[in-house]
Amino acid sequence: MHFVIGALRRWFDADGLAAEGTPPDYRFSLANERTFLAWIRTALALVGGGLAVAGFLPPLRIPHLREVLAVTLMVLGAAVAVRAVDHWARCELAMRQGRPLPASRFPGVLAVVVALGALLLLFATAVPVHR
Amino acid sequence: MTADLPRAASRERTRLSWRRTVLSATIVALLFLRLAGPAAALAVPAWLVVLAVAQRRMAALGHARPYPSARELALVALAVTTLAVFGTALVVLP
Repeated sequence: MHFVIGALRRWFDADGLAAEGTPPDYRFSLANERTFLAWIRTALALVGGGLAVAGFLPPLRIPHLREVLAVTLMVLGAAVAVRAVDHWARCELAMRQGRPLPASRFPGVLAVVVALGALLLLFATAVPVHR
Repeated sequence: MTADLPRAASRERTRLSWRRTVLSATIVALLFLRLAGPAAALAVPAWLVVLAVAQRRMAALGHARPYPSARELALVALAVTTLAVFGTALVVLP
């Protein structure tokens, strides 16, 4: 609970962040903002991909697999968006306090999950049905 | 003049990044329109939030102190999360 409140404060308390340390050269801050926006577009692509799977894919031979894939993509999109703002805030804070930028396993994990999902979809659509 | 080029380019790149983000959000909103019909109206507020914050940021990038606020970016992330929730509801609800 304490962790959640701390995170929410970090995301929404603009003055709290602005009061920490000294602001970096704005070029670094803008680079951090662009990284955030790239993640937001990734999140939007996942949400759009989920909508496209639900709306334009024919039903797969495994029951409900289409719906499961669509929901998984959109939940991943939401997670990417929330994580994007959290990572942005932690990077901004680190720059203001002159500390090293936080490391993250998230991009690697996301890459593996998306690759496994793509293989699953390929398998579900390309393998012929045996009767 | 040349010494200011990296700074000007940094602002320009960020402005273009916001434009791409608005385009992405618009495509997702149009997908909602195609798939959800009138219920797509639920996605409009989220799209408007992205649009409004982007306009505000693009204007601020011309100012002397172009720093973003945590709240602005959190609002964008919240809007995208809302779109994901509506999309999930669209698939799960009968």
